[in-house]
Order: sequence, then structure tokens, then C-alpha cells
Amino acid sequence: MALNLSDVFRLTRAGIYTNPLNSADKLPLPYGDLTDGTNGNWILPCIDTVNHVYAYAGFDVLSTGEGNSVTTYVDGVQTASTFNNANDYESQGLIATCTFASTQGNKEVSARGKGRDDAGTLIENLIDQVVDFIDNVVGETSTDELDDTFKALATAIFTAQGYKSAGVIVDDITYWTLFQQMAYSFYGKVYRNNNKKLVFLLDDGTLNQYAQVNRFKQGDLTVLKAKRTEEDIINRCPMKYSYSYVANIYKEETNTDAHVNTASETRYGSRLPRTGFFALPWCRDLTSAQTVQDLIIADYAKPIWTFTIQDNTYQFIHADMFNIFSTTIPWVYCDEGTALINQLFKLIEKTVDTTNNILTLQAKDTGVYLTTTILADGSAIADGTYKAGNDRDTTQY
Amino acid sequence: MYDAHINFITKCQEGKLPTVYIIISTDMGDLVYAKKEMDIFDVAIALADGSHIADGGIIAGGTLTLATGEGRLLSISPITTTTQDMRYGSLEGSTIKRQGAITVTLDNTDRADNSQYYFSKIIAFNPFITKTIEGWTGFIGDSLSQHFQLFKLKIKAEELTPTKYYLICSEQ
Repeated sequence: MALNLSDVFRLTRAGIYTNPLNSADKLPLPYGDLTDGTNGNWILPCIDTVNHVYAYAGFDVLSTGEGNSVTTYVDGVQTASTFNNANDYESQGLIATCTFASTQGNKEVSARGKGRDDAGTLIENLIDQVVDFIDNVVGETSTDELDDTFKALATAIFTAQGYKSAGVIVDDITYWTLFQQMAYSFYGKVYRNNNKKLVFLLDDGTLNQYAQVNRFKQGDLTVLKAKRTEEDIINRCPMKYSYSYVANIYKEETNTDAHVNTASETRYGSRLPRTGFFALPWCRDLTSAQTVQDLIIADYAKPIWTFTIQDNTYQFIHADMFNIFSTTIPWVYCDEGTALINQLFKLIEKTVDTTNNILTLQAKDTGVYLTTTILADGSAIADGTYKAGNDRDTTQY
Repeated sequence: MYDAHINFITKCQEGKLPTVYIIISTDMGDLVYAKKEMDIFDVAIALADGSHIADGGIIAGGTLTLATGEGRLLSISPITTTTQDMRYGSLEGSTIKRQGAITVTLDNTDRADNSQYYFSKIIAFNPFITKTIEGWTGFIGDSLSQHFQLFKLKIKAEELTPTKYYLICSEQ
């Protein structure tokens, strides 16, 4: 682990070139497809006032021959320029440039186009973008930084969900903040596990009961309290996406009734996120935004119990974030009217108090429980006592 | 899941409490301190520096030698690992990274002469700021490979009093 995630990643300054307009201007790093809209999506700094050269990107990007479509604007007016996707300008390393026929003075120059490629293919998978950033921009080794298993899992989920990641790094930013923004744009989270590896965890709305890593007998743990709040009920979630790094606003928003939980609205009223919307800084297409929207509504339309659990031993000290475990909490009931027997929970916080030797866990109810199936062999009467399939397993383990 | 040795978990399940200790990687080497109330323990590490022949006479990850052998660790604030800041609700909290931070309290008194200050003297020439601190827990007598790492943080700030030395550490 060499990357200190609290450190600030600094963009290359225009001052490394001989005749920049402003030496403090930062060379942007675009990833993905940013051709949306009818105006520039990010600002290009002038790196050569003599030859009217602007930095499209602080690294080489997809060429027009490989599918890039670049449009440049001057003060919002489309203006032709000559695009060079891999330009070793003044021998300062490969960047992408746009050269104008005449000076643009102090006017704002912006662009729409596509970003970084990998051997001629636009990088649109979030994890591939992170890998490229760590390996080729920061200069560290992604295989040392990222957990291999979760990297493969996140890559597969991203592809299966049909997501497309696109954004521009336009300012200095801490690695933590950058990775966090990239992850939650697709309903994911990022953290360092105890093996000190970086994990991107994408939620695709599925939970496999066989993915549980612990099964705690009732009495193994002390469940102190259960809590659920109004704030955590969300049945309508306006999504902002397609960020404009020129206007510094989200250009697009989706909030259609087709992506609302009407049953929850009837019971709890219209419940929106605390800020009134959920923003996706690295998402630029409607399909991805609505997929994330549906996942959020599915998770938050009903109030969720969060449990505080305590143990006076270290027997569960090895539990990691988002580990699934099952246990029984007989004094909390689900909306089917049954107690939380053999319920699955997801760990979201762990506190180790070495002074008092207490382990405190915060876990969220997943709404899923261990099940059993009644065979159609005459062993059970079809009188409504049991469900034919996926009945709650009430065995006391 | 964390990587935890089965022997460590088994002993924890039996209700036994492991020893907690910290390792501070400084310019003058690794300094190890255990909890003040615990007995000093020997955990000796065999470095791959040519000092031992690989003839089976010593275990590679066997033991760690305490550089100081002193129980100066007074306390460690609760170590919280989380992926979301619950102050802002579950959804919005998941977009905010709450950086893990703890305070480690060490004993600054000098046992031999209470008028001299143990850490005051050390950090005068060897500041601990920006250095790495690791927290471990394990059972006395067990191999180091069976111990469990609680945290690995960076020392961001230090506070000194005549009797105590505080290390404010945060996540990398």
C-alpha cells in the first residue's frame, strides 16, 4: 500500500509550458464519453498563447480515427480547432491538444468529446478508469492497491448493470474524495479493508444468502437497540447527472413517476433525500441514472432497521465492512408479522474499544432471511401455515 | 473478512482477552509499547537480513523483539471502521467518507527519575509526526503471525504534557 488516500492529487499546471495564458491553470483529465449536450462540458486551459494551443486533456486520449468526436467552443460558440489526441507538446509528455487558427484572447474555451482510451478503446468501466488513473496518472501500482477479488466483482457488476462512467478531473482533489465520488455515482462505496486493500463495492440490489460469512447464535451477541428514522425513508429520488464543469451545475435531472414507489408514498407521504435529490458526478446517461434511482428506491422505500450490537469478546473482531451475517432478534418483527429469526444483516460500522474490551457493531437489516422449502410430499397440509417456497427458516441454531 | 488466525479467534471465543500493543515506525527503528497494566512480553521478530540461516532453526515470522520492553501504552481511543457518516442519514452518509481517527495515549514519565520525561527526550530528535503507527492484538506466547492487526494509521499530530504523550492518528 503506497497510495495515501488522504493526500491531494495535483493536476499538471500550464506553467510547465513556455507561453501559457495563466501558469496556474490546471490540465483536465477527462474519462469516458462527454459528448452529451450542445455546449462545452469542460474548460480547456491555454498552454501556448503564441500558437493558440489549448489542453484538451493532461494525457493522451482516444483519437478521432478510433471514434472520438471533439467539438470546441469559444464563449459558448462552436469554433473549429485542430485536435491532436497524443501530442508530446514541448517534450513535456503526451497530452491532447486543440489548436485554433487565431488567438482567443481571454475567452473561455471549452470542449465536448471523449476521454482516455486503452489501446484504442474508450475506457468506460469505472474500475478500469480507477486502474488507469492509479497506474498511468498517479504512477502507483493498482494491483498493489486494489483487492483483486472485489476488483473483479465490481468490474463484472458494472458491466452487467450496463453502466457507463464519465467525468473530468478539473481540480486538485484528495484520492479519497475522488474515489468516493466515482463509487457513489453508481450506488457503490469505497473503503480500505483490514488487509489494507482498496475495495470498490457496487450494490446491484441482489443478496445471496450463501454469501453470509457468519452465523451468530442468539446469545452470541447482545443486541442493544434497533433504530429507524424518517430520514432513511426515500420513495422518490430525483437524480441529477451529466455535470457541466463549465457552468458548475448538473445539466440533467430525472424524476419520473415510473421510478417512484407509490405504495410507500401513500403510507409515508412523498419522501425525498435530505437534499431533495441525489447527484451522480460520474454518470452522464439517463439509463444509468435511472438504474441507480431504482436501486435506491428499492432499498429505501420502506424504513430500514439499523441495529447496535455489542460483544464483550473479540470473537467477531475479524468482521469486515458489508459482511453479511445471520442472527435472530426475537423482539423485532418484519412487515410479514414474523420475528427476525435467522435474518440476514449487513455490517456497516465496527468499533473496537481496547480499553474496555468491547466490540460494537452497527448492522443494517437486509430484509432477507434464511429460508426453507416445504416439499410437496404430503408432509405439510396446505392450510396456510406454511409458504410453499421461501418460508422463513425458524430453526434455532 | 479480515485475515485472522484460527488460534486467535478460538482463544477469543473461549473468552480470553489478548494483549494490545502498538508499533511506531520511526527513523531510529520500530518502537513497541504495550498496555501499562500488562506484563512486558517478549515477541521477537526474525528479520530477513542474513542474520539467520534458513536451516529450520528459527521460524521466519516467529516473534517480535520489543525495542523498548516497556508498558507505556495507557489507552487507545475506540477504533471505528465505517463506510458512511450516519449523521447525514443512510443514503447521503454513504457519499461522505468519514476518515478514521484515533488518539493513542502514552506514559511520558521516566520510571528511573520522575524529573525527566521519557517521550519528551525521544521526540526532541526523532519526531513521530508523519510516521506510521500500527495497532496489534495477540496472545502472549503466540507467534506474531497469529496476532491480529487492529489498525495502521499515520500520526498526524502529537500533544505533550509532563505525564502524558498523545498521538493523534488518522487513516491513510
